[in-house]
Amino acid sequence: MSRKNEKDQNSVLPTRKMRRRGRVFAGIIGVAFGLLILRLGFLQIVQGEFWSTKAVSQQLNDSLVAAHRGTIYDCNGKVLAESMEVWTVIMTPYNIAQLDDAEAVRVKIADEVSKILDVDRDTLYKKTTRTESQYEKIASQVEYPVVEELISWAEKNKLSNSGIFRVVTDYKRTYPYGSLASCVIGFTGTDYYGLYGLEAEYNDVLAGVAGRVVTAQNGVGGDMPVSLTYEKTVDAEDGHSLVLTIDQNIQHFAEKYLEQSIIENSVKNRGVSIVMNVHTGAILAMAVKGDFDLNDPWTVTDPNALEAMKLLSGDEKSDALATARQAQWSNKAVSEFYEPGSVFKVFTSCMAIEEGVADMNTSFYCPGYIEVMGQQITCWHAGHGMQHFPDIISNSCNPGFITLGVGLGGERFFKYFVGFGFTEPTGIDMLSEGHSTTSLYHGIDMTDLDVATSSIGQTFEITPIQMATALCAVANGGYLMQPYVVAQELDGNGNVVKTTEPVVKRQVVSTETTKQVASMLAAAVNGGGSKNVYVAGYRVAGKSGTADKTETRQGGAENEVWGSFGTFAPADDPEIVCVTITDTAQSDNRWGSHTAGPVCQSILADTLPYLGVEPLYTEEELANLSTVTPSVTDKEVSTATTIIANNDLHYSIIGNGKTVVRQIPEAGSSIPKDGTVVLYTDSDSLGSTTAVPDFHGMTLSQANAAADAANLNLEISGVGLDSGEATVYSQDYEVGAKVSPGTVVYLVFVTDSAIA
Amino acid sequence: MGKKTKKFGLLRIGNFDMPLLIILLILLGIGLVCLFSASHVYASYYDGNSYHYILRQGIFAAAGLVAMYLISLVDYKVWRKLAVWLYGAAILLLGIALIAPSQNGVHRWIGLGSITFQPSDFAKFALIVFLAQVISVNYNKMKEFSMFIKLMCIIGVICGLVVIEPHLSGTMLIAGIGLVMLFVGGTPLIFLGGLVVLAGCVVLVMVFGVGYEADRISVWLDPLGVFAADRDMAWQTVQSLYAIGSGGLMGLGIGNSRQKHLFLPEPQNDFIFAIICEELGLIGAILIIALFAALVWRGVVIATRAPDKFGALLAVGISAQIGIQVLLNIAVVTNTIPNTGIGLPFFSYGGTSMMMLLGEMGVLFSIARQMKQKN
Repeated sequence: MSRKNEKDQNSVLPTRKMRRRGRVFAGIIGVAFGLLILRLGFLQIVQGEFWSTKAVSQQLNDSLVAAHRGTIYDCNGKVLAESMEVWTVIMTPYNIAQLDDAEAVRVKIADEVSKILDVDRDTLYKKTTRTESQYEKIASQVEYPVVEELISWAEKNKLSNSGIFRVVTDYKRTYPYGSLASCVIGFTGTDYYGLYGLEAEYNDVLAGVAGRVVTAQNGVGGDMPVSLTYEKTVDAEDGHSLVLTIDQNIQHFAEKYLEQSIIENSVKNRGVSIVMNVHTGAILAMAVKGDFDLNDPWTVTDPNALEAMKLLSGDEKSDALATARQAQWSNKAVSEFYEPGSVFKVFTSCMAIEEGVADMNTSFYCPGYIEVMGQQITCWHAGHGMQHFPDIISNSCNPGFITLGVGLGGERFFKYFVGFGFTEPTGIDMLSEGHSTTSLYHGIDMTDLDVATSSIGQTFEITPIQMATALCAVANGGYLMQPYVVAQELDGNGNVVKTTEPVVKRQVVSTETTKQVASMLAAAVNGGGSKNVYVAGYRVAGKSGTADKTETRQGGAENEVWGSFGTFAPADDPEIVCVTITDTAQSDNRWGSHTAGPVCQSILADTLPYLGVEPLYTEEELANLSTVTPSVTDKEVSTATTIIANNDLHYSIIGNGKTVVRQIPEAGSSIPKDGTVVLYTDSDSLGSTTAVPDFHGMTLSQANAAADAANLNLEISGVGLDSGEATVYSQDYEVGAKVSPGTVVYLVFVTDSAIA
Repeated sequence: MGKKTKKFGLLRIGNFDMPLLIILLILLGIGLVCLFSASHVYASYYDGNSYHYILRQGIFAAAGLVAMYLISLVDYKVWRKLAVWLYGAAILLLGIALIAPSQNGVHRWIGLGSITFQPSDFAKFALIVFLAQVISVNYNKMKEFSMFIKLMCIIGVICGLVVIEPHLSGTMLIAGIGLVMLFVGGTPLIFLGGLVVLAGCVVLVMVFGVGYEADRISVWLDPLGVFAADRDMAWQTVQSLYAIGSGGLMGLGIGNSRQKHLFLPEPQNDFIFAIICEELGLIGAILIIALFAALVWRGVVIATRAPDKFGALLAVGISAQIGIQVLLNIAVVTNTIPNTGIGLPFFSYGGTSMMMLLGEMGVLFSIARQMKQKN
């Protein structure tokens, strides 16, 4: 040891070693601080963005402001779907805790507000006790009167300014017509996102863009002080509204008559009726029955499905429920395929005339069958014998059309099959249109046997909308249109922002060809095989079809059929197409002429006058026309009877008074020629009623007798009235209904003769 | 020598070590401003009075400054005589704290009416004084192993009493102070090296073998992962990182912290530095760290120029306490080490800590008054 060190050790002074180690210690601290600074630099500069983004996201409260979802109107501006303003009620329990009598207020809120808002008392009480919480949603979809009640309750209890409650605007989707056009319109989920139908297809247009309010919040969800307040508001952009081509009235006609047929014929798998403007391809009505209530879409309406579900439990039951819902929601008119059967003969006729394979004078012989490639294909009838072209249409003769098909050959047949649009989606602006695939039809290399079956509408499947669109082409002179249901888009202020222009896809056949086919179809309606769609005053062109499901891709039990009818009118200058399809009728008569024909007939009979198409009556029809009752109320009985007699009407007097106090039918009502006006001459007689008899199945003379007996008037429509073969298909008053004597009962007659 | 220096004599008024005084007052001033900024939202929300913490801290700081001044007037050699008594009192007080009813499940405080006192704060100073005394008297025996063991026992008793409170961060700080004093006191590096290796092994066995404080370790290793699974467990650490990261280079400006708005729990306590980083940015944080570094450096300068070994060791001990405490605090706040809970000197809210620290500064000033001028 050196002397210096020794001296160090013995002195009281800090040794050099101590001083050195002291500095080393300071150095180590300095280095350690330096490392911490590097660490801070890493966190604040390198990772600064990362951490501050996370911090900001917890410091900001981003709340959405609902956008007003657009309205759906029919073509006349009637509201089919709309969003009503409703309110969400939010409570701030933190502000309750600030009150002196917090617990008393909690109990009061639980007791009284739960009643106003119709919510569970105990749940509400529990929410009032979350003293740190600034946001408790306590009720949603509250309508305005309830909000008003809550506001006045708060005022009454001097809680208006305590910041306990606030309401936020929201919207609720409602469908004023319930089930009307349900498969077309579709519905939204709980978040108002379109799930089905137009609500889904046009969701982006209807939805608009939700607005946002971003505010700064502190760690317990409260407000930041004014100096740090941050508020950014992005206004909600209201959704656009849709104006449909669908006319609520025509839709109503279609649904009413389709439903009638579904019930009368016990149709198992729903039915479809489509009414379409032949010039534009606009859909005027698209009915699918049985349907569902748009305001309650999750409830299954199919009684068979409900019955079947009763026997199930657990997963099986929920699967069955899901299947039944899907089944009722699916738009049968565009999503499901069917075999058209004889209705397709309309197109085979067009092809044959266009290609010169046959003309109006070509004759055909039907022995009841035809042989193609060694296979015998039978006619639905024992044998039609010698026929001309119009006859094979009227008779729906299979050998006749097979002759045409084989004459065309696969290549030409397929050209027109494609041309009429049976191999492609129509492009209608609706969700999940069925896409034809080659598994559904025969391709260009089809054999003669394939052509033979195809030419009578068998061994391939199409969608109802494809059929309606192709029929439009036959009706409008050969032009295949693109069907559509949305006519216009309107912005939030009602300005038109988009109008759908009709799209002509192509001309399939010449106008001359279509005119010839239309006249043959009209002839078949007017006294021929298609007479079930006869409408007095209008020339209707139509063709029935019945397709056996047994041999098809979809399969089916014995006797299960698609019954269908395709019509357009007026035949010489068509305005509308009406197609009806029933899937699996279970009544005795399952032919399309019986299950679908009267539906088309009734729809046309209501729709043509509604659209202002002028009727052109034949003399025969004029004779059966109704007249208008004159006004005789308040007149002397003798004067009244004279007036009625002068109008070629009969009268019947009830009561013993001298003046007419009431007349039935009332003045200006429609009444058949030869009808009876019932005159009430004193007030005592006014209450008398008569029961409506059951006219179903009666012939015209039987119905007249029954009406006379019940002191009722009849208005009749339908076909085959002269032949005496026609029987009553439907009556507008229910059997046994109590009505005043003289009331006009409307009867529809059909001939019961079956036709393919 | 006996003629010149009176026993228990008072020193001249004035003659403060100006560098130390300036650094200290700047730190104290910034500390109080930051405490107010960090605490007022929390105070207003939970205590109904924005000034709850700053008022008390201000009073403690004022009282502490008075105490510091008075203590600086006392010749530091007086602590030599009191060393053994201080050490005994520290053991006694720590013992009382262990017997006294627990607060929040730990035995860290002794309550005297409404005032609470944290004996471990006192124990740090007592240990510094006692170690300085023992080492300076036995300086020639420092190379002996028996001496090393003896000193280890002195440190160990205090550490043992603090660790069973339990107060892990306090123990670490006390052990750190002891280690530095042994190092400067001349303990052979082989002993210290062995000690460090031994301590390291114990820590590793405790953490990975026994699973001691497994939650804290998992938060330390993956704060956001734990946060996603269990918000409460990682809340404090993650909120601290949010605050620090939000500050960037320049900070949001004094008073503009968003994280203090009830996101970061108890922002006036151990995590005050996170709010400082958010408001003053990296620049502000570096400034404050630099001030602490300067304080430590000045303490070491005073030690090297102290008139005797006792004074030198005393100054080193006090400097070590501040340096290590700052180190631990910032390391915790930045999640560099697991969360142990230790305040930032002169910044974090706490009366005992503030008074003790300023008192110790008084001792440092007393030594500085007698230090030799550099020749």
